[in-house]
Amino acid sequence: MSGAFKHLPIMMITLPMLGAALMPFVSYLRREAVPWVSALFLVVSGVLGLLLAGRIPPDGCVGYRLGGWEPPFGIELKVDFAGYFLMMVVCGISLLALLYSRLYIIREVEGGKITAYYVLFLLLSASMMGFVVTGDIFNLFVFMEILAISSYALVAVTGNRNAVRAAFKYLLMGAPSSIMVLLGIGLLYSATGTLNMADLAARVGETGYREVLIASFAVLVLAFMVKAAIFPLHLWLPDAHSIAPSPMSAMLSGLVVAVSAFAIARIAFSVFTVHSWGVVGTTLDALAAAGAAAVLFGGIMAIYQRDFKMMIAYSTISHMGYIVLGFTALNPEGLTGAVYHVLDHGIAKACLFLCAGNFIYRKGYRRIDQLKGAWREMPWTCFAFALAAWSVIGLPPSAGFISKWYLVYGNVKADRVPYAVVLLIGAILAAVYCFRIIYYMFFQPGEEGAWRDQVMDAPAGMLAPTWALSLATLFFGVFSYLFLDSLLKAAASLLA
Amino acid sequence: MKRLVSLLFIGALALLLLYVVSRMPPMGEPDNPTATRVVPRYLEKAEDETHTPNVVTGIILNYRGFDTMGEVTVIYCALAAVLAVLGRERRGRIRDYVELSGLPSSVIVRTMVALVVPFILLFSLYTIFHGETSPGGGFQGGAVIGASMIIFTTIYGLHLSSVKVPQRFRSPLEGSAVITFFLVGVLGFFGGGNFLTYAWPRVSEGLHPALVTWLTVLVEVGIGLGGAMVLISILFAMVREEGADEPLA
Amino acid sequence: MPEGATKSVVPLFPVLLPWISLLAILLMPRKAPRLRLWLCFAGSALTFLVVILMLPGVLDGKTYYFKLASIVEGLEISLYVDTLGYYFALVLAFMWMLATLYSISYIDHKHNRFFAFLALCGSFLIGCAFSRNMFTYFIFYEMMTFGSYPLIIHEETTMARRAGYKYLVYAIAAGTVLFFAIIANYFWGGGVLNFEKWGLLSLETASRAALLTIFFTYIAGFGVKAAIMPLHGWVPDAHPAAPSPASALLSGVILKAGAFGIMRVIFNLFGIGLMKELGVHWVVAVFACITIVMASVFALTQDNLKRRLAYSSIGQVSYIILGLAMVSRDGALGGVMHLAHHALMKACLFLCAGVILVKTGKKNISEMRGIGYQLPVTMICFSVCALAMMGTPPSVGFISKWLLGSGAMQAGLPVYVVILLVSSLLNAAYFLPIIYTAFFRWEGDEEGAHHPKLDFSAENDRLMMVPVVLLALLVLVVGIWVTVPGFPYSLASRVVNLVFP
Repeated sequence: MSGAFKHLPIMMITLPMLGAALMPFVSYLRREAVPWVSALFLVVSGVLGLLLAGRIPPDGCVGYRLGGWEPPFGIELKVDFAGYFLMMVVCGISLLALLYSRLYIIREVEGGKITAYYVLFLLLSASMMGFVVTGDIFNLFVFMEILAISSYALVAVTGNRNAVRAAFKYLLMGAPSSIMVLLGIGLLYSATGTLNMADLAARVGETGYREVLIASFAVLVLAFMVKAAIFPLHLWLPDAHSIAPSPMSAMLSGLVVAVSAFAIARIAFSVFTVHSWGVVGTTLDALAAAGAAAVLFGGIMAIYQRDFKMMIAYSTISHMGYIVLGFTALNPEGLTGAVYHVLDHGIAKACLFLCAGNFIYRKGYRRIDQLKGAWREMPWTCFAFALAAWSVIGLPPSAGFISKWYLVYGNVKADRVPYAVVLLIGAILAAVYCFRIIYYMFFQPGEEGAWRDQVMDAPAGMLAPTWALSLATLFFGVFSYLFLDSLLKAAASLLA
Repeated sequence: MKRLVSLLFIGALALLLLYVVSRMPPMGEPDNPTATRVVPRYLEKAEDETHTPNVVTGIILNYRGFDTMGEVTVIYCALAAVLAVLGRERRGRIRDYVELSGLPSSVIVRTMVALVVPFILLFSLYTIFHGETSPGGGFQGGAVIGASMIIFTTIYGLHLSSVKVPQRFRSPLEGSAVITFFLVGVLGFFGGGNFLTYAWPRVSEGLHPALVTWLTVLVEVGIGLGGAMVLISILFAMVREEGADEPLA
Repeated sequence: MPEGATKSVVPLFPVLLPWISLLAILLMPRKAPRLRLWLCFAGSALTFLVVILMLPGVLDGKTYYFKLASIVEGLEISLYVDTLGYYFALVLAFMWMLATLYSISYIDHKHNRFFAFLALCGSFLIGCAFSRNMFTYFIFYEMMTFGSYPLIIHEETTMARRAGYKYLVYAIAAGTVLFFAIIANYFWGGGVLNFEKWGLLSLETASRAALLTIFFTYIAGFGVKAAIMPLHGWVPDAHPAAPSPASALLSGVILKAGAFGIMRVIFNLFGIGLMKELGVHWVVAVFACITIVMASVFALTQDNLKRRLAYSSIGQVSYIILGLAMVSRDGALGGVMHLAHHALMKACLFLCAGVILVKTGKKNISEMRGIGYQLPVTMICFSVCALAMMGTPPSVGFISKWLLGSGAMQAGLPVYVVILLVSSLLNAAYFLPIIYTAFFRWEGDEEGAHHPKLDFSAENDRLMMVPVVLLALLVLVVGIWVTVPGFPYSLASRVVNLVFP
């Protein structure tokens, strides 16, 4: 890639950071402009990303040397197709959630904090974009820090007691995991003397410090399991995700945990690589088992929830299990399924949370049984919800179906039929908890006075992002062929 | 029971990690991986390549400048987090600073602080501008500025110090570290290099040392200013004066 | 691109045309409700017309192919019209048109929802019929499955809700099993799932255990729709709960989508040879026989007319399965033809039940004394179809049964003939009482009152009567002039010639 185009990835990452840094000034000039200017930065970032389309070779990657230093000495961005794809996913979903925030957030957050909210929002998106394409493991840690701190704060941003408590719980589990990441990187550095992923990959195979490597991998996986809320370490998630303001829940549930789960894949495939699977295989097996448990546990817990944001949060736990089961299959199909699942999970979950936000905004309802008959008053929200739920279950032709296909296929191909069956059971559980809500919304008469007979949906500024996401679930299902070929190649090269 | 399980878990983890530490490369051996891969080049060539006498500065601002950009973003993020949870400062209602704050600060203390703070600020400037050649730099200098404001605020109270460093002056500067990094980074493109290239390929080799020095100092100043403002804003947000509006939480 | 296929955009039209109805519902002004409904009918009629126009080409042995999307190498979403798929499409487009016509007058509330989903299901079903591979089939099949849910619970009574719930549970479970089957098939089938060969899998590419797993997961997945016992649980609840045109479609077409899936599995994916080699046709045949007999026995005990018809459908669909499982030429021919024949008969019966419900409000057979005098045309049509179901000549039912019996003899297994005879006997046992009650009982008959006069005044609703009469006539006509081109035999015999070269 030549010319100015090679600078695009770094601009995509740093522009929202710049935006965040400028936001206090913008707020000082004109407070109402803050949401629009924030959105503008993400839009520019996204447009730059679109300019990159077709320039990333699917079976290789484009390196970008920051400061011009050659890799082991300086920091390098490694933009492979999977990373680019995820960067675009992050950018798109963030933009929609940000636009949604404009109307929603003034209800839940007091005026003086709104600028801080947008600052954190931009930092969160920027950090996730950096997180998925960086080629340096310490840089990964730095982005993870930004990601973590902004997430804690955004959970607490409403300032009510429960929110602060949930954020604190998140912090209590998140901070040790951040330290563990640092510990893992430290161990890795002590055994190899380098931080660049490609260099690490080459040296991991040669170095003699086997125990140190195993410990490092185990610690890193454990740490990212907390961040990605994979089953036994998920305890912070339901509270944090259900109490955060809805567009924030969308970001946290849709992107933050999924990107963290992808980080495990990144570390397993870009750092430890195929050469050392003999060393780290046990950890991956344990991770797969945890993922399978997560699929079942999350699904079953989601069925028993009475609060619908809580239900969506548990569904997220279940879907993190999907992603883990995908890439631990260690074949291109499974990895493709995992990456595509990050996409469709992100879109669908974000959409579900935004729908939940619409209900909360209009009616203040949070309980599932209050949704009975919602169709009469808020049809657009209900339809968007149904479409997104379609993808969560994984029914054709939504994007969820495509990723489910690859996840199950990858597992069958890896001779892990039990895990494939677990994935299918997960889909059945998803059907149970999603159809219950769809049934309540459309086919159950509501309680007297709960819903008006005339249509009065959320304002257009909130409906538009919601609908954009729900249509995206269909778009990425129907037009999945635009991406899958490249993703499969990218996955194969990541595994090679 | 829960505690016992936690204790056992942590104990087991500690033992495991201790075992791993025992298997790590011994400290200080010359043929350790840490001593053979990237470090030699940093130590031997840093000064020539980065035109920065201080190797540490050369590494954090040049070789691994992007990490540092991330770190200043973390600091900025921490400020945003504090503001998101606590909100901006609320000044007290007390008008007359002589009888303010109710802190046991005598005339001697007040006078001393008033005398010392300018010198602290001067020292901080030295730290910032000299970071390129000797220990110090933007982070340290910014922290010193912040510390001076902490002293000032504890003695004179939030009202006066927020008059001295008003919000309309602080808030645009809070992000200055990130902004400077971004600008220097982007200048790298136009100089013909990559993001954060200090020694622009388009400029003749002879000018590189001066260019790098100026850009490094620029970044140091940005970090110092931004860091200072972040610290001060965090401090102000956390101070609760008597008579100030109660926070909502 | 399948061998010898013509690249053509024509197969896309029937899939897309029903969406006209959808657009009509969405875009037409609220003030013209009838016009909207008529446009829906126009959509379904156009669909049928386009399907008919493809008939000459198909009879010439042409196949059409249209690629929608190729996801990765070997896995594509594409339409492919071969004789078997066309045959199914023809049947369902016809049924769809009649059901839409009938619904215009039958449905009395929430028209928009009903017609919208009616059109959607139509589109998806045609998609099923025209699928080139199992992947495409599954996509359309699942959409159709969930799209038919609002049709089933349209009445929104407690019974309908419960039936809908049961339907969903079965559908989700079946969809999951099927999904697994397809993945396994894709993996062991060398990365393709295409229908154009007569036997895709072989013992060379996959182990016996793998093939058995694939086969039985397929049968279990499609068996739910095809109502093979013990997977039939949703059928007897869904039919009485749904509005009559929806029941007619459920029995006439949607159940057949399961049977059609099994046809594709047996003919195209496994092939007759592999079936015999694996010896799995026995198992299927045994289940089909059990279903045929048990469903008829259950039907005997039902007093609710539509419930009795539903059990009858369960048994009849298993005729198709049994025909396939005989692995003989005539058996397969009978099975394939019964798909259309049963659709004609059963749709007519359900539509008659709908007329009875609308005009008299009666659901239970015990209440229907003398109904033949109130609704003479309806009940005559009903009787024609009921007699056809028993296998009385000259009717389509007779043709299917004859061929199935002949197939059983070809396969050397007269025991199937016994099963068929027992089933016919049971059919008679549960259909004849209805006719008897309708025509030979009336109010006060035990006190010696004379039978009431024939009263044609109630059957004034042409929109409902036309489909009923037309179907009843076709039951006779198709049963007499069997070999007319375009009638089931012309297409089914072509299919069977390909399967048994």
